[in-house]
Amino acid sequence: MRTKLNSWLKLLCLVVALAAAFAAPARAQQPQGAGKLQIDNEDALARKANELIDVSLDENLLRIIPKKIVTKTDEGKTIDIGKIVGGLRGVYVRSYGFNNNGEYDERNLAGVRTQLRSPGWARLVNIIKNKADDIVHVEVYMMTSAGRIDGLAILALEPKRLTLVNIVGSIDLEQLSLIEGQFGIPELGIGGGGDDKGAKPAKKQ
Amino acid sequence: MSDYLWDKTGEPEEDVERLENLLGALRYQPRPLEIPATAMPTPTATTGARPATLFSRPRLALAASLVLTMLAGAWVLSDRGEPRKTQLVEVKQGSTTGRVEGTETQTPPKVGADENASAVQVELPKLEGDKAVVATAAAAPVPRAYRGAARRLAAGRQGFQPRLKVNSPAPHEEVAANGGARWQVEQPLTPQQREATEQLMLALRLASAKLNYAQREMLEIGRAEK
Repeated sequence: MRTKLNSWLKLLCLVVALAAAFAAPARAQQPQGAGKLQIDNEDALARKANELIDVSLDENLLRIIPKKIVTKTDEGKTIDIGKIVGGLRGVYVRSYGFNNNGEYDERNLAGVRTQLRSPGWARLVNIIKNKADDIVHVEVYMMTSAGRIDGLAILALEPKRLTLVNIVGSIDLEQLSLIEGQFGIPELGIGGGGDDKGAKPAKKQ
Repeated sequence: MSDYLWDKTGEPEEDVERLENLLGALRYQPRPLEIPATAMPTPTATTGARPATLFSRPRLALAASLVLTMLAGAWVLSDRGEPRKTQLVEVKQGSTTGRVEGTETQTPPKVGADENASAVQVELPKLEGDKAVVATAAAAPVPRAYRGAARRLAAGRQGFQPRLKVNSPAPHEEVAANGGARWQVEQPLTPQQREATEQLMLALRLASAKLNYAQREMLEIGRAEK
């Protein structure tokens, strides 16, 4: 009788352990590097730029941000930033501002493009707009696996500004698109010349 | 030849008799079984059972399973739980007017429950400077136990004042260092949290701007093609 009870208890322990293992967040099962681009080695660009916005938030830094953080749009709609951040494992942005046109070229992006050609990444959007000799080129890449977003990369090439955005983890694009122009700050208006009006004072490294 | 070897009748032969006498000492003699103490198996070895103690292995395993199950349940529930909706109303202490849910009243708002109301007003013990913070738990039905009291209150009898304790902290508004960004959190941020939050907001805003630009351009292209 006791032997039978022992067997049942062992089985129960096994089931609980398996359940706990499978109930772990799906993000824990993802490889740590999935969706992450190496965009912080553009020293040549940083030397040429007169303005640099550099944001590097890895998973540890994202964890210290409160989970319950909300903001309101100008129309009164509530955006739950906590929900957006919840699935993220990293946020990396490099935005270089230049004094003159043509201070950077495609060669500066060779490293990033090589990474974006690796398996898993797919280009969703490629917009090239030629407006009065000013070419604006925006590309949006996405890495997906098993029907979920693992990473997002945005390359925005403007005459006097080059922006690289890499968001690692699962992100709700609809919620993300609501954020522009919120928080009491005017919209960036990148289509009109590429100046990030109202952005946080950039730091030059 | 006698039948002595067959059924012990007749005369035995000499050799047979000698052998019988010689081997007779070894014949079966009934006696109780005696097992040496060293060969005696222990009770646990035969039954496989262990002496029952308070912290036996099966009990520990059962307790660990229960604790794990409870932890997993608590974790799942805490993730799925919706934040409590609260609405802040500021009332100046000592003044005779207060504002509750956007309506002016002649006296400071009192804690209580309206019989027909769909909400119970509760007073938070927290004081912020010279302002008392009163929160309204929106869409919380009047508990059955308080309906009688609510009816008496509504009738003007002040004999009973329900006081509920609400543990949900009041939202705290944060403003970014550049003065533009505003967001609400439950507790004031530490400098590290503030820095990380500001960086995150900036990054998300940039990403959002680029995405929206791409979306607008695609729509324009689509329209132009039509």
